[in-house]
Amino acid sequence: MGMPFNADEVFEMAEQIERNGAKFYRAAAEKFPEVNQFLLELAAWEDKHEKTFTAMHAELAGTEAEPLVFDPDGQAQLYLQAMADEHIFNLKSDPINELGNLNTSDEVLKFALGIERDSIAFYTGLKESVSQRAGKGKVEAIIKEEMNHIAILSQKMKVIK
Amino acid sequence: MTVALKAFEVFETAQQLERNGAIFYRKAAELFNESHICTMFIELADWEIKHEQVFIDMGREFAKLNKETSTIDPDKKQQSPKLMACLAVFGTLSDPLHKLKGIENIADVLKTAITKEQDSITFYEGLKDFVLTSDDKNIVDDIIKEEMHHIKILNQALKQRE
Repeated sequence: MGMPFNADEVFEMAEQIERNGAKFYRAAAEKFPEVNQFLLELAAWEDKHEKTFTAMHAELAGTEAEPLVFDPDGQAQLYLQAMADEHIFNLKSDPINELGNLNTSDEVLKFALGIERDSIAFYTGLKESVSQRAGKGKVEAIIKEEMNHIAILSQKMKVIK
Repeated sequence: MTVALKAFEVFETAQQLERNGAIFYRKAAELFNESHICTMFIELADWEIKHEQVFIDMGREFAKLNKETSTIDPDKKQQSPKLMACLAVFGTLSDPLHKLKGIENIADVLKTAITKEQDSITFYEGLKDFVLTSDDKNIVDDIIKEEMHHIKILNQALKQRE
């Protein structure tokens, strides 16, 4: 097993996921004017989530080097490491690169569904890795908001067809 | 207009997710000759069948508390049935074997399987807020943890091929 993530690393990953999401939505909004407003609203939500994770990160100042939660078997860490693996989540790649392959509003919304699903899967693991004190409840709230994004994306796809 | 799922449809969706998962894994096990990979896929298929039975039992219990043909009481603090219908977009409608068409190497099968497990986790996160009792919430939580474990197993198999 690799070195466990500490609080710093885990929250930086979460912040990067939201930054990538916002960047994707803003770039997609420019490319697809017919869903411009809709995508910009989703970008604003991701900005809000990034701020939440940044605040959670700041609240743990001084404890960044400590593990977030008692995880004796390392299972929570193994899951986060798997999710952070580039096969699943490539945090370093520019999300705008994905837009080149998307040619219709329907394709971009379908792609966005996948992004939201990937975020939920990562945050489900993050939730298991943080204590109540470290902000488990806030992560749960963000998961619920990402699920609502899925709902509005699905509804939008039905409308534009 | 988004159609709301009826109560029993939510559990049928969960059952279908698991059945599709088992079909996918069993077919994947037939495609390649590496015995440890086949064994892994067969074990994952068995896990999904176990999960399917959990949701069958949960659906029956839920039906005792609510009429099967009724929609959800909006006064109960539950996940919206309309949201459950939207979450059901992940993986329930497409033929699980269709996902394997055109795939020629084990790495692609493993990546497809990881995506499938993520679909399940997403649906079950919504399902957790849909069930009525804390016991059922804990059961769904346990299934989510098992699907997360599947992702770890699949990712480990993927890394071994690098």
